[in-house]
Amino acid sequence: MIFMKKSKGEIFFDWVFNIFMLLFLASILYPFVLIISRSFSSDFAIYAGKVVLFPIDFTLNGYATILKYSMLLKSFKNTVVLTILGTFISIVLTAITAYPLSKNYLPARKIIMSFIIFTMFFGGGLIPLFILLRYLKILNSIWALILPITINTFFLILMKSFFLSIPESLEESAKIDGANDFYIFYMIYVPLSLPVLATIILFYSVGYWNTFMSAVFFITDQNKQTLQVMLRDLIFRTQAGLDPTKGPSLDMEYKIPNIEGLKNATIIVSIVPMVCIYPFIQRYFVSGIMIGSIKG
Amino acid sequence: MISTVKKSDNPIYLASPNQVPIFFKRVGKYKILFLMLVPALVYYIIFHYFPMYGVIVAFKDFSFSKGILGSDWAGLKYFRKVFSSSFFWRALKNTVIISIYRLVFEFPAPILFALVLNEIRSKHFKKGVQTLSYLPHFLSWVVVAGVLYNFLNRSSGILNIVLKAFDQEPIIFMMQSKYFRSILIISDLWKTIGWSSIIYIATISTLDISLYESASIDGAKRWQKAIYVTIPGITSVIVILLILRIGSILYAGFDQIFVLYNPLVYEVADILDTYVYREGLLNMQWSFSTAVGLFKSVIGLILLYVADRFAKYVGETGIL
Repeated sequence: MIFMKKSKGEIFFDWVFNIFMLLFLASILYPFVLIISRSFSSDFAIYAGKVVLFPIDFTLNGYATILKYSMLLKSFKNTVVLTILGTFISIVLTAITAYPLSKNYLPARKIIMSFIIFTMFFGGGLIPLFILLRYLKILNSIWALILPITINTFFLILMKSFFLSIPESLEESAKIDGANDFYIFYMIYVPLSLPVLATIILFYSVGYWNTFMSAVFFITDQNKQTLQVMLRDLIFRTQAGLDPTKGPSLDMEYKIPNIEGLKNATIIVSIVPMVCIYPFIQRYFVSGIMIGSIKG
Repeated sequence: MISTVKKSDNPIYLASPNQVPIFFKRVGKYKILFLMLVPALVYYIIFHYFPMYGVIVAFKDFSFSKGILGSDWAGLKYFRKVFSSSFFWRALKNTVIISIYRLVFEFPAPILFALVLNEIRSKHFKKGVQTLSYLPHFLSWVVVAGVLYNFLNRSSGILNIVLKAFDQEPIIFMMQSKYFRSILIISDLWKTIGWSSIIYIATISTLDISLYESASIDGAKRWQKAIYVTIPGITSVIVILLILRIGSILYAGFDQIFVLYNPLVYEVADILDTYVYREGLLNMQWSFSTAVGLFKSVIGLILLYVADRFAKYVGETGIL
């Protein structure tokens, strides 16, 4: 190992880089600290510009109002169902499609792959999709939020690459023992792919949880709306008073004691599941993606 | 005299329908595998290829009562309307301008971030920063808009609190055209810099250490190593991502703009996608908006192809 003498210039830049990264870190963390603090503060303090780092006039009203806000709770439930159902369908379909495509001996494999990959480069657009969903009569239903995006082609390729990296000898010996293709897939390949599967499951979950655009386009019944849409309406489309039993409205019927607190509390509540999942994404992510991409 | 030419000698005969049973026999052998492919193929056909057929709506006077087939043919009528619509040109202009802004500011940023991160000595600090850096990527744009709300809001926004402290008037940032693009770029940088830098950080980690050691022996200082060893090492990745970026120049960030824009900033914020949404789903101009969408998809495809050819021309592998 060569001994590297540090020049003054190098030490200076060490400091610069470290400070830069600290500032960056602060820029990521500060918004969350701010929002959490405001979710526990009174509107008066917030509007007065006092709540900058710590809660002022500590109150739980922001969170308490969520419980009275039936439309919000409903959207929460809708989003949970959507996430679980959507993720399940997506991962199953992605995996059972990636497996055959990873077999070199499958006839027409290249054609099928081209057929699928082409969809990444060209599409019909929003209006034809809308027309299709209307014909299928799935507008305004959970299926409009799942079906058009069931398989993420990028994840499909990732899974396929990973399956390719599993030694063929496993399949060969299983076939000698009389196993059929699906059995091999289910009993051998799937257990071996857990890191990649877990990563993709997490990505699909986050995607479904964050459903916003599709819901705005295709869902008109406010009772079926997703959390993100409700959140957007809450933050940007309300006036100072709103009726918690009706949902966001411009009627100033009932005065909510703590609208700013409510807004920030709802933000926090909507990201709590994501933050809980994040460490798991962390753990599986690097190995999952790296394996997939190196082999691919 | 009976011909003694055998069936198998005749090349035309070999191309006949008798080939079909052979094909099906091969399919039969892989029956289960093909069965596993069926759901996905159905999915792609219905939800990707059928809408591609659906663009034919752009050439018809579409109405739901008549359906796609029953609607009258309109030829290029709607395309003429599109190209003579000032809102269309505004949307196209905004799309390109925003995309170029993104290219100039957001494309190099993750690269620089990766390079700086690479220089951090402490492994724990490095890992910690990296881990937190891609947290914003997993948030929805609605949540990010909520963050922006707390910073840019007229009465309680942090920026306006700072302005008040300096005796300045509060500014309604989100509703003014002149701030909109900056808000767009900065918030997108915040959200994506960590995530986008992953590919560069990963590539750098695969670079051969001995390259750095021999550079040291040759007397290279730290910044020289960065320029002559690290950057060449990630050039291939940069080129591929650049191709993709240029090929998608008409995709200016629908999700983000949709959450953040409002009628007061349409002048700079309305892009092709938001224009299609409003004209199509809200104003029910089905054929017109489909024409706009088709325009975007076709140009996008052409751009992607051109960018890919160019990359192959300069020696990189390209993606198509």
